[in-house]
Amino acid sequence: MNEINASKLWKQRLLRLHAVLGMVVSLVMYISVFFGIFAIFLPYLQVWEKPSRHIERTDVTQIDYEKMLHQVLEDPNFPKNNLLITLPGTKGETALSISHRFSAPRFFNPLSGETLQDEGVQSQLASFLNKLHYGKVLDFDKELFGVAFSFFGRLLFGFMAVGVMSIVISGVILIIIFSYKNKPKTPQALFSRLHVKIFTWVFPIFLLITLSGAFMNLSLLSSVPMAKLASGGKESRIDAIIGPVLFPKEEAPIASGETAPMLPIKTLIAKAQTLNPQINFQQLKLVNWNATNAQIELKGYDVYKPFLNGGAFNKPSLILSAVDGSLISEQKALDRSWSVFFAEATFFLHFLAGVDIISRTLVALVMVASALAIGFGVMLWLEKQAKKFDERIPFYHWMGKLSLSIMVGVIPATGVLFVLQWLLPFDLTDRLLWQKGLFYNTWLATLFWAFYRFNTYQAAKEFLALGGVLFIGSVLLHWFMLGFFPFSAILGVDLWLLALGSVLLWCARKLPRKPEEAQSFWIKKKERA
Amino acid sequence: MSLYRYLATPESHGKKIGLFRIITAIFGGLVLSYLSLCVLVAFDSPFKHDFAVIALLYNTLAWAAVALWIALAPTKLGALLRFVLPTLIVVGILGWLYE
Repeated sequence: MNEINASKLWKQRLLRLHAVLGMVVSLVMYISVFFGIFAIFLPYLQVWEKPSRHIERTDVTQIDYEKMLHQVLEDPNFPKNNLLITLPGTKGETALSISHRFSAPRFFNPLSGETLQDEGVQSQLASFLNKLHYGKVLDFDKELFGVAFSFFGRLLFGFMAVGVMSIVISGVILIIIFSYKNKPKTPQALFSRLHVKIFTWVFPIFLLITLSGAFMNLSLLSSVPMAKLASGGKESRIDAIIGPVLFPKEEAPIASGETAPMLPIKTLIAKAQTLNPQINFQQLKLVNWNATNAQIELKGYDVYKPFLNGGAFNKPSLILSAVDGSLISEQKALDRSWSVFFAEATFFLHFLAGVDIISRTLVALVMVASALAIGFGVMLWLEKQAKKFDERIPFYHWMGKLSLSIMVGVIPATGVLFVLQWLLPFDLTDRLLWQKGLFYNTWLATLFWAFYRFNTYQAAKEFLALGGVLFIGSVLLHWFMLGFFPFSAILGVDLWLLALGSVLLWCARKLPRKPEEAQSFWIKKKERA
Repeated sequence: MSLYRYLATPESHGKKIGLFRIITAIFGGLVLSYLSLCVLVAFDSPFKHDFAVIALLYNTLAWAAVALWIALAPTKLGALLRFVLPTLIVVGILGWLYE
């Protein structure tokens, strides 16, 4: 066995592993990336989807909090201590919510102080898109089938993420050892080039996001053996080991018996803002309210330290006395253990907590590029399969049809989801179930249509056109039902959907109609670029 | 002997990965990467809690990398050894550290 042969075998095997693993996980990964792009805009979508949230944005230091707090404190069924006030503007939300660990949140219009009629389970478009993103695919509430299938979906997406990381590592090695430089003359070569070029640019972001996704779907489930081994068999929960670092315990003072007048909450927020002007406050916790030792804890995101705070583990905070506004304790963004920053940095691009619309759009564009690159990877494989038939018979491959339905068919199916959001009346029983059911049926119908249409190009054009019409239609329906909202995040979502719909219609027009035209289409396009 | 020869002979080409390599890579990679990161946590260092966070965060990435490394061994025997030998060492360390 000589060295040259061994090296050749190694390269052959690396390429083969990359391609095989890619074909196994690409469709699931594509689904995750596709819905992930919607999930990036989840804060804006969940305001857009609910009529009750169509209210103006407010400055948090100008709100009369006591009016809303009073309504909650008067309710005998609502817990009184450790109330959480989530400020409007947090994760795009326009409403103010008052919640408690053991109680469902109450939503208020921050301007008028009136209780909002939350749509609750009747409107969960954004949350459903997010669930599709991480594999909770058949979430039929509490039925055994739904629970089991959701668990299966989560594991499937987790294993897929691990596979994707293997693919990324092998892909990076392939890029290093092979030169992909020659001018593409066939569609196959062009797909290969696009697949390589796009991922050469975006793979670090793609890898980081996949890694954090794999962590969320797999690591916590599989932590029992690690906890046992690390603690000498004493602990079976990993929280006992990571808890002290990631989630330090807060000491709760006991309420004194006497009452005292509280400072207005907006004054306390303004005071905290002067103490630490870098924090964008998101949540307030009221401890022992109305007692002489009452405290207010203000948590938020330090906008000057992205990648190090704001996600799930590190939220800088201030604790003030609610009686006189004096500072009791402070936790700055950099006051934590080093592993917390590792965790925050790994999750930052995935959660994008506290991040503004421009950064979100940038990450979304990177993910659109990744989705296209995955698509080109699959098309590259299909072109190679088609070559085997040497154009003697028309190419009809089950994988081509399945990919068409999953990758392109998902667009009109999602369009149906958006249209139904405004077409179904909000008081319809089991509204969400109708919405989900029709969405899945549309997606399934695209699979049948993909197999029925012999010409894959034609079917793809039809799906894109239908998707474009549905997305534009959903915006028009939104305006028809609720009117026009100038200069707000809600209008932003409308414009975003209109742009998406127009791009889809444009693609449907431009893409080649027949396989014979495909060759000239792809190569001509390359020359123009 | 024939089993040894079956495992130790390099395949004539790399276009077929084969079930043996796939299974060794997936399960061997999982066991090896997971236990190796457990060693990090099992050490009684002042950073025990921090290492636990790191181990949890990166165990899936480690799995992906180790599985790829095992699958790319020159022979089937090589793949098996890439799993068995490090795992034995890691298990030894873990056993030694276990109170």
